[in-house]
Amino acid sequence: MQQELIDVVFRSQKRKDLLLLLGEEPRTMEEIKTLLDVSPTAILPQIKRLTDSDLVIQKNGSYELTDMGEQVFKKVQSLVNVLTLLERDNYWIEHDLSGIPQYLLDKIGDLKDCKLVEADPSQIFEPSTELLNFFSSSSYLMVFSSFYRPEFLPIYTKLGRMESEVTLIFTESVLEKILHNYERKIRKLATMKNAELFVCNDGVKLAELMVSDRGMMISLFDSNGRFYHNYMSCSEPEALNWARELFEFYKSRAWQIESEKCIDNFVCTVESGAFPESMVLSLH
Amino acid sequence: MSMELQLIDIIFFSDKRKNLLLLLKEGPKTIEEIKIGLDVSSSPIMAQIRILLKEGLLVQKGDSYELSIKGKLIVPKMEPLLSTFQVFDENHDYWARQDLRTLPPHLLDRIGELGSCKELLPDRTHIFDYPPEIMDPLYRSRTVMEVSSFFRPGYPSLYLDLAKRGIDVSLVLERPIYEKLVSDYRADTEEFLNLENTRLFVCDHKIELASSIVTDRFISLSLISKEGRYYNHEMVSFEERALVWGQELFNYYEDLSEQVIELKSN
Repeated sequence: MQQELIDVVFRSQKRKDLLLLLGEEPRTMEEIKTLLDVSPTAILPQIKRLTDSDLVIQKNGSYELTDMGEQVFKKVQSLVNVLTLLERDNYWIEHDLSGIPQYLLDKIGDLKDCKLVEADPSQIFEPSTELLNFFSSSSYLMVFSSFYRPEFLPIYTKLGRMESEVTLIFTESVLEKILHNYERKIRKLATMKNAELFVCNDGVKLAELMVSDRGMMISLFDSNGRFYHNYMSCSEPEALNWARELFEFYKSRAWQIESEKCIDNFVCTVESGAFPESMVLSLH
Repeated sequence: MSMELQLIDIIFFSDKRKNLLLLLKEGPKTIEEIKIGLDVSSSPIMAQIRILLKEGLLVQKGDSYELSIKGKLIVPKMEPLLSTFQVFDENHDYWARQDLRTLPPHLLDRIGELGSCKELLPDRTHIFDYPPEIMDPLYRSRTVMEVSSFFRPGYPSLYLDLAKRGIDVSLVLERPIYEKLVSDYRADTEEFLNLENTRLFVCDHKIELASSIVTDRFISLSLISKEGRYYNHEMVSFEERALVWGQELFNYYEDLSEQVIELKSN
């Protein structure tokens, strides 16, 4: 009589870890010992349980998942990633996730390795040097921002000159403010051939999102719309893919400022003076 | 115990809690609705509700209970896991023996949608026929769609018969099977094609699975073993979601195939 898979997988931490490990790639006994930090006597009975349940098979000296094991692994991983994400940081349950479409919420476990970066209180309104450095050399850069951060404008132009692909999405209010204060710079950006500028409506439930080939960062508002100057950041490939998909989602709902003519015709639909000061990160 | 396993313990290792979480996935419920929905009495379920509240998986709003944000992120991952495990558990040896890669990857990922399946084997005396358990629902179906990579002696006559009774019949056959059908049963094939309610497709890609029949009443799947062997069997499910799954499987192969309108003259 076969034991139920739920017991096979979850009644032992070692078996669950082993399944997740072999889901990455086949491993030899030596590798399993090192990676899980276990002795052969401790792990062998667990390997046997997994092979007896047809989830794992031994081939050419290493252990690998069977077709069935692969399916079981996928379902376990998708659950465990979310549990890990929630266990590592309360950021996600303390912030408003409504700006994230359902199909990406379903994959939010891809962000499990994100780390919270908190602003230094002494320079909360100054350019975040960490972020600047992080993004100042990449082959592409995607930025969504509902904040006015003029200190970033030189980076965008610099990357543009270095032939990196730069894609920017600003909310209407932010674009208006930039136009007001840095018209020349933004006009230059809008006409660079490897830079694209988009505008979206105000009121989106996403504070900031940046993705480059070096990493991603995302910041959200809390459920009352407050912003705490902290963000989640990660360099794992799954997180980068996730962030790029979110960026594409917002890009598909924004309109492009393709030429100087678009800038001439740009009218902010938000009443002047309604620009929420709370959204101004850097006050110039 | 790690926090992760502790949470897994909470969500899976009590049927009451597990079912409650899955029920609340549909939306907020009052205690009365929970009692009716799960067919339980007050005090045992209240004990479980308190545990889930304490773990932060539920929140209470007025009279009703609903999933917290944490619950809303976790619970949607439970259902695909549980349904996949259930499908494998119910016919463990079958799924372990078959080559699951013969299914299109996006449908293999959703194998849990097959729900409760039963393996049917033919009688010794009718080794090439469909078992009676599916002949009956087959004749009571309104539409029948089959994908096949092997030849059953009953093919032309059975499908012609179904079509003549007004059942919509669509067949996707791998090229060699189609060629055999045309050369050995030309008249029947022509008669089949001439009927209004039939469609025949020929597939030039390899159809990896042995066959799949999906109707508006059941789905039946025949796979090939890891060693490439086939034995006559039908893995059958009558569940609603399984029919949708089967329809998608048919559409997947239909999209790879060419429709045959008429036979080329010899």
